[in-house]
Amino acid sequence: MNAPTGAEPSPDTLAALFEILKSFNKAGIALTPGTRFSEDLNFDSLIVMEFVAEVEDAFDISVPLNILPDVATIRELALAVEKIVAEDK
Amino acid sequence: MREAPSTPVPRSICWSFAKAAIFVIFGELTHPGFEVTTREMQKPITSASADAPVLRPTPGHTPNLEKRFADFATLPESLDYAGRGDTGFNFYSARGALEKVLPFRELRDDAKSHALRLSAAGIKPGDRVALLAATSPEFLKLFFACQYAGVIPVPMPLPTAFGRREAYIDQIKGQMTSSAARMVLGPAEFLPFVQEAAKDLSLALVGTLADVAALPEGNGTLNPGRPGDLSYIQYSSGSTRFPTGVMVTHATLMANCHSMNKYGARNTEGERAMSWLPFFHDMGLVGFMLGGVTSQSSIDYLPTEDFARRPLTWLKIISDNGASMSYAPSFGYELCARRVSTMSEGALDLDLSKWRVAGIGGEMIKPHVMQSFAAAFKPYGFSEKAFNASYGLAECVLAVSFSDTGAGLLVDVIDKEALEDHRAVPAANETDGRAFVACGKILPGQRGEIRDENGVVLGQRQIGHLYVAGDSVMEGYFNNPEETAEVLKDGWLDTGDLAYWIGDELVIVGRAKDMMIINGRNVWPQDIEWTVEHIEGLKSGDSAAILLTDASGAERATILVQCRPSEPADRARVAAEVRARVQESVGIACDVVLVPPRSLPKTSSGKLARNRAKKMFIAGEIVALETPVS
Repeated sequence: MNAPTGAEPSPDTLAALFEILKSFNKAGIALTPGTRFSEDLNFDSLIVMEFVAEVEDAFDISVPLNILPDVATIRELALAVEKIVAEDK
Repeated sequence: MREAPSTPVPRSICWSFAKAAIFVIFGELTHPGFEVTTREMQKPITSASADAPVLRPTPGHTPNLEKRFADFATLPESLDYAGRGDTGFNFYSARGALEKVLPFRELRDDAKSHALRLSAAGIKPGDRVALLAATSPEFLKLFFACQYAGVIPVPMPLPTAFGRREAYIDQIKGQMTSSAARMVLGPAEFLPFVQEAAKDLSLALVGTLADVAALPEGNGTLNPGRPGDLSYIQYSSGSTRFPTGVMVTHATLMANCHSMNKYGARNTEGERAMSWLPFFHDMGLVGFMLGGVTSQSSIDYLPTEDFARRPLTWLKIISDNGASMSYAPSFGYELCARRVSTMSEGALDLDLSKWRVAGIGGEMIKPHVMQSFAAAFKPYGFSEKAFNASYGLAECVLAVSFSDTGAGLLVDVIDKEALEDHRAVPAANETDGRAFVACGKILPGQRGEIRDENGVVLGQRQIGHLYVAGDSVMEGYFNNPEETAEVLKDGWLDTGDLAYWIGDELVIVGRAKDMMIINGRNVWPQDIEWTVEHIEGLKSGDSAAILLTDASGAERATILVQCRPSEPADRARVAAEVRARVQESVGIACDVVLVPPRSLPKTSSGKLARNRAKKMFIAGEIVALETPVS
């Protein structure tokens, strides 16, 4: 993402994502901002889309498909969500 | 006139595109994230602007325009004809609202003008142009611009996963390189990926439809090609590392679309199709795009990623427009069945009674999934007789066999022990057998043979390799005589699939070749092994990727890895790294089994003997090293 280097998402955004992730975290992995969707949570494309739909509803945004390849961690997703929310205003 | 089915017996189901690729990785469907909700059906549909004219979808047919089934010389000729009517393509949002309408007439006119621009830009007949195949009017205009210019389009996939940038770029770069594309076009939001993939290639243009539209038309002429010319190249088969592009000519395309619509789906006046299948997959490209153009059928589209987010929108659009034809892999039906499983009966506002052909494809069909879908949607007018089974692969354009429409689902349960002996003997007890579904009869214009290892043609209920010949077989893989010679011999295509006959019904039982189908997605063991063998400390020949069947009958991707370290901690690290790298690069979850150095068998030429490795592992001749879980 094009977020400023070292930028950190707000705790509220992270908390909302952790809450949504609860039902997707089959293996009960300890969630941190650095948790990776693909490698740590074993998300495949179907689960990705399910999860994205939940995120869209929670934040009332539309997440474009083209950001996904650059979003590896929960932190990166939180930053991306905040960017979309800001642009929608 | 519709022809009567030749036999009144029930049909089995399995649009088993056993070899054809499906676009996304579909995982286990049982995780708790599948919260059932009616949310997506309840949100109000809002229009973009109060002043905008109300959009109307194209009608299902055009009065006074005779329905023709791909009896054209070329694809441009078929669009010229379709453009004389009122039918066309309609694009819907994730919430089921109509967003864009593209009548065939407008598609034809725009495509012709863009074709002149491509020619004026120096793209010559026979050149390849790679297109990112988004479900959009823009892709279709560019695809048909290529057709009118005699240029060969190469549909490429879109990214769909978190954090897999490198793997995606490798994939599209492989296809651009293999096809020697001169130009790559796609939606602006995906161009950064294309630019990165294209940085070592010399291309005339990397851009969007708008970039093409900005080019001058020049004073050239259209060059719509001849029947023997290539219409497009399809990369739905072949591995990421070693892509193989199927060459599809106008003649083979027309032959397949003709028999598919006339004798397969038995398309008639006023049919309406609905599809969320992607354009970079043969079922989406041919079955539900080119099949529509060549039969002048209107098609309603939901982008694939929107289907994955909101699967019930698929059924809503079918219901709203009274669509009569729609296809999906079994997981599409499974997603919908799960979504409604805890809703009260009648909670949705759906009428599926006009859905005449509900095709199933992409992977081996699970009969219980289809039964649960049929039960769940019976209250909404769905008939299980609508399920339609067929078989095909990109090397034959798309369709090879089709069941009779309106006949429903029949399962053949065969004895497991006899199956290992390559015989399909009906099981004495249904619970002990393995259930397969027949895929209908070989379409007119094509022939099928099932042969044993020595090429001897087999008879009823004997399992062997399926070979296909006839009017739909490809000329070969683009710029790849070696791979072509592997599969095409004396006009017969080795499909790589194992099958047997019940009467003239074809039953597919699995794959003879290396390719794995994991949750509906084609995965090539070479790609997994390539990834593993580029991990530090491992080298070429150190791994074998195989599919193993667990006690419940589910198939698991398993990687046997030759491991040198003897320390338990080191072994655990190797196993964890292999798992993570395969997940990241190939996008599948796999089991990793460490085996001793030099334990994997090789062929006489030094290549990995993958099938022998699998047999030896199952037989206990290759023993797993003890590996602690990291």
